[in-house]
Amino acid sequence: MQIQEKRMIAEIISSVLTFGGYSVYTWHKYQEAGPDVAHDLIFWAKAFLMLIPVGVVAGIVIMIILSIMNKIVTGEEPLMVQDERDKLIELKAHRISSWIFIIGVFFSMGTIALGMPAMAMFIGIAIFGFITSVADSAIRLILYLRGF
Amino acid sequence: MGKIQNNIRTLRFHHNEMTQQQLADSAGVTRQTIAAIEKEKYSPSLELAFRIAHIFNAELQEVFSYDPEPGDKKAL
Repeated sequence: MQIQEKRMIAEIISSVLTFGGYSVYTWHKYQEAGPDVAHDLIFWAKAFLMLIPVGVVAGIVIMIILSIMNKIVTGEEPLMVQDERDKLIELKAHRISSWIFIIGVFFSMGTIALGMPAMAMFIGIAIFGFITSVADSAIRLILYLRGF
Repeated sequence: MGKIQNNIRTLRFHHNEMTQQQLADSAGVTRQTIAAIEKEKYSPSLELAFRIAHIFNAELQEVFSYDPEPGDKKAL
């Protein structure tokens, strides 16, 4: 398996672990906050903004661990540059995953239009953000494996 | 749609058994890209194709060839 394919699998695992772990943490805080928090924009905005740096840091840590483990096991140097094939695969994956996110934003706005609490919109955007992240890595993995 | 074929592996062998890594370093791409080109999982850009041909001191058509599918229209 090539280093790029291993990196995509690590990114998928990173997204699942980060989003899963942070969801459990936010759920506990939601339970502690009481029934009115479903309409509390400040609570959900803070929870949403915290997800971004948590996701970035977790991703970086997992990538560093992967590079070190790969170097120890295979002796391969980590790839520091992207060539034309890497950039093409990234562009193709971004194009598809952008559409997934746009659909997610559309549905999330729809929850507000239907009179649901603000919580539903934030959760919708977070879930579709997670799906977008996983889909982006999965599409790139498929393109690396299958070719195009 | 047709397929672009190549004989890079053979050319590497006849050029002092050049490795994929050596060819990749000379062409300015990763070893994985060279491997994908040899397996016909990736069609290189025109610039990269010319660079590879230049490394082997060969013409483009000596390195790459186009195999049209049966349904493809013939040249006029």
